[in-house]
Amino acid sequence: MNYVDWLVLLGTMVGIAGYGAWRTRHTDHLDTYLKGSRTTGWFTIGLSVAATQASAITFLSIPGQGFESGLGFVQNYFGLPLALIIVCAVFLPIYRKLGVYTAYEYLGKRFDQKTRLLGAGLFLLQRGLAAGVTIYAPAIILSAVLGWRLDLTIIGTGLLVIVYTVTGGSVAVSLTQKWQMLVIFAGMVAAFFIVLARLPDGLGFNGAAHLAGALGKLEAVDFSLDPSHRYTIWSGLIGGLFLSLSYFGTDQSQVQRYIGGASLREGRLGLMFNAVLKIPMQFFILLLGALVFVFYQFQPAPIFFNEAEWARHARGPQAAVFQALEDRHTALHATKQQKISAWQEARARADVIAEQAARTELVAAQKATDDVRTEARAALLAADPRAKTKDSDYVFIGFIVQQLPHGLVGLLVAVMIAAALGSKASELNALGATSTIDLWRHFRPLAVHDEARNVRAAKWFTAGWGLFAIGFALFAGFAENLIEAINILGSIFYGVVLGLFLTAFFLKRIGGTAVFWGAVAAQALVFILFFTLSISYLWYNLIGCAACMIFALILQTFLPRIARIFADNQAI
Amino acid sequence: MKRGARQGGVCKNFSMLPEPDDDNSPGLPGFRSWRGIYWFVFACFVAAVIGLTLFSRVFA
Repeated sequence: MNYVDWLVLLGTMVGIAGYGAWRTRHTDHLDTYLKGSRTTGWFTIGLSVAATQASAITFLSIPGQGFESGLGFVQNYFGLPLALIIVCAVFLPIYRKLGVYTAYEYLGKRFDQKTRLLGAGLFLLQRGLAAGVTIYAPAIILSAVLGWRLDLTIIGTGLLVIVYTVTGGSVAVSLTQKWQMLVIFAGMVAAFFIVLARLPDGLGFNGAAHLAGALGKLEAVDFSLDPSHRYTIWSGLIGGLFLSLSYFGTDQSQVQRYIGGASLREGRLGLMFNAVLKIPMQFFILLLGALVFVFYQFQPAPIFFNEAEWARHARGPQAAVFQALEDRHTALHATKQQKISAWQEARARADVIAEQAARTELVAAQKATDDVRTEARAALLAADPRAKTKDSDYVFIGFIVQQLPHGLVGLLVAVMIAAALGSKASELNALGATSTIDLWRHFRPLAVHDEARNVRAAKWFTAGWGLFAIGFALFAGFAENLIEAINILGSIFYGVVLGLFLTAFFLKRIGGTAVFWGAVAAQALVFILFFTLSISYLWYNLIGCAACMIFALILQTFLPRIARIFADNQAI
Repeated sequence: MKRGARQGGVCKNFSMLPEPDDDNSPGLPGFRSWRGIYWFVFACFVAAVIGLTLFSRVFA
């Protein structure tokens, strides 16, 4: 990065954060601080919901997914539009009608205080731990590629987001997220056209898409019922529906984005905007990764995209092994280019048989390259068992730094940091709101009427969670698979929380005690299954939700009878 | 028991005003109800899945 990149990066990031903090510096009403301005329109709400979901990892990892596995990952989002329709039709009108600050407050009104505390506690536990990862995950990648100090990257981005989130609350979060999303859209569209421009002359989008398709990167929809297939339309529809319903309907970081705003209509339109936008947006980001894959068919690609990690070990005692792997990778790249030329010539002649034969050879050449990359990962692990062997997250940022012109590098790094700040801000805002409304007020009921004291408490809680996230991120380097661990943690708790809400909405005769103990039993069941079964963690969303609802129904049937027996015994 | 009653009182004393249920029309040209919007979004979703399937078939 040169001074132009730094100018663009700091100008956009500090500019947006400063603008958000300055515009909202006089936010002193609890309603505005926690739910946002009453004048917020659907477009701002829609972008805010999108920015909350799209963390920096979205823009670092998903192009890497497209590069490595193709477009199949888009199916994970197939349940999202259906879930958002349900949230719009059922969840949002109830939240708005009751005028709640948090989703868990609704549980208190529908059931009782212990169920509300259970929902809020599960959210704080899961989201509080995830808050550290939201800062840590992009910081470790950006610091590795750009040579920044990891601790300073974490502290710098963490403090920036704390300043404007604490100052302006929900209204600052929405305001900054709108501009951050516009920077993100501009940056990704610019990157898309730069990749196309960097492809060989005459190839164009059509030729690149056919080449990516020939190498199996453009299979977006898989109708297979084979459970060994990682992404299929069925897992996306069923698993994605439950995951999205939990996330958008019950996770306060999302609920807080849409319960404010000018009216119910604005919130609904903001959510419907996301329902229409999300699948094309994810497809576009994955396609960008597939095009970067095509780009590296014609340009020398590193054998391992986390080049800093590779270089650290390539200079060690195993240097000869690493050099041999690099030489084989270079030779295979040259062979593959010949196969690509042969395939392109056969296509140009419209010789179907020759094209098929050339394609088979091309796929074999690609497999040989993939095998060498797998050997390279094994060599890294042999040299250092603690080495990080997942390099797909580094593909897109590596391409940006090495291939994009100055100025655009700064803009694309700004995209990553904007995404990190946007999702982080929502998390802190939600953690602060839940701590204040569902915990602090519960134990300080007399403070409810003191508006200024409530705002002060919300600001302190938001800052506290921000500092906790920074501290957690600074020590997160000790855990190797932390990101996956946090995802698993989310799936373990999300299902039961969704079960609480679906029981509240659809099982009208269930009372607070039955659903509380049903949820506790369901959570215990999920823990037992997690430690005894080896199924995909996504299924725990469905299991936790179903178990919570079924246990609550059973308990509701038997609890009155048990209570009557106790009463009769006492009477005797 | 007394604590539960006090919490109920707290819930009723929130400073915010509940939303009036007056938002039945989406106010978008071509749509008379929210049900129409939901069907439109669902149709967009089906179109996206069909489009992605065709995209896969054309280029694979």
